[in-house]
Amino acid sequence: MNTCPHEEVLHAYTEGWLDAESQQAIEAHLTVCHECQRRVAGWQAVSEAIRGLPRIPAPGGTLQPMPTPHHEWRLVLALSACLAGIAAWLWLAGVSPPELNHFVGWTPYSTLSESAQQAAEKLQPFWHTLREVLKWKA
Amino acid sequence: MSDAQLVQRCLQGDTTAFDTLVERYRDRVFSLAFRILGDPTWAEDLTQEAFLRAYTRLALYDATKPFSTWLLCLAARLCLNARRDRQQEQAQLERASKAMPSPPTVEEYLYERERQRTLQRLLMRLPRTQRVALLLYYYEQMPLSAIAEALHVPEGTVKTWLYRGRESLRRWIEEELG
Ligand SMILES: [Zn+2]
Repeated sequence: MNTCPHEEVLHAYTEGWLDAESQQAIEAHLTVCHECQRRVAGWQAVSEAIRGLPRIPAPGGTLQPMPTPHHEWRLVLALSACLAGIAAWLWLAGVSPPELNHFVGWTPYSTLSESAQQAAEKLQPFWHTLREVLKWKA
Repeated sequence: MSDAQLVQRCLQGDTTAFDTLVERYRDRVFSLAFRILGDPTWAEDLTQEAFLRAYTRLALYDATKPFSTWLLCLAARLCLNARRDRQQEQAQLERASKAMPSPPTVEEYLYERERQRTLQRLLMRLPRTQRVALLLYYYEQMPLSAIAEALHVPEGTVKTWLYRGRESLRRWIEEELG
């Protein structure tokens, strides 16, 4: 091989990713091409240096204990209770069942009746908190 | 006790088994996160998040593969996608400006530590994808297939990231040497 291989191919050679024939061809080229030799040596030095980076001890005692499965059940119960509470509250506020769709995002706000709009506004912070909790769990 | 046995125990409801896994891998996860993110406080948050996520998804872990690969890939993916809000960004800038590195002493310059610092600084100049690929492949010595799977890209893409990252670092170091 007289011309230099494409750089990405030369790089693949250093990792042994090529087939045997190509590996040999590049090896032969390297014996006569200083430019490619220099490149290969540089890459090898870089990967050696990354390999040699030391591990850093994690700051002590900062990891919080994991929630136990027991807690998970409690969370599910708490969320269910919240949802039941919201449903009851909407019912009492006089929001009709089709309008409930708004609260899961299927109905635009402007199509709600006035009482439902008021209910929706009051529920905003609560809804936000619930979503944060769910996001945190996910 | 092996990692697989600890995972098994954990799935059976023994929560202390997971603490053992955390003890075993926290330094490794933290180091990887720090090398990717370049900020110890951020890395600490991500380490916590990685273990929490591993814990809640333990049932998805495929026991035929090493637990370390699964955990570190999960952590790397979190780091790759990690975004900070403005407030956190500001806090880090302030910390960084307060902790301006003092000029290295002669000893430091001559020794390993300064070279390691330089390398970490140059790593931070790379696109995050290239940095993650380089660290998983050379620092954690993970197989290409595991990296590709973890980052949801074909193996060819990982190879290209490794090539570009390594080439940029080589060039920058040459430039620094003048
Ligand atoms: Zn050549």
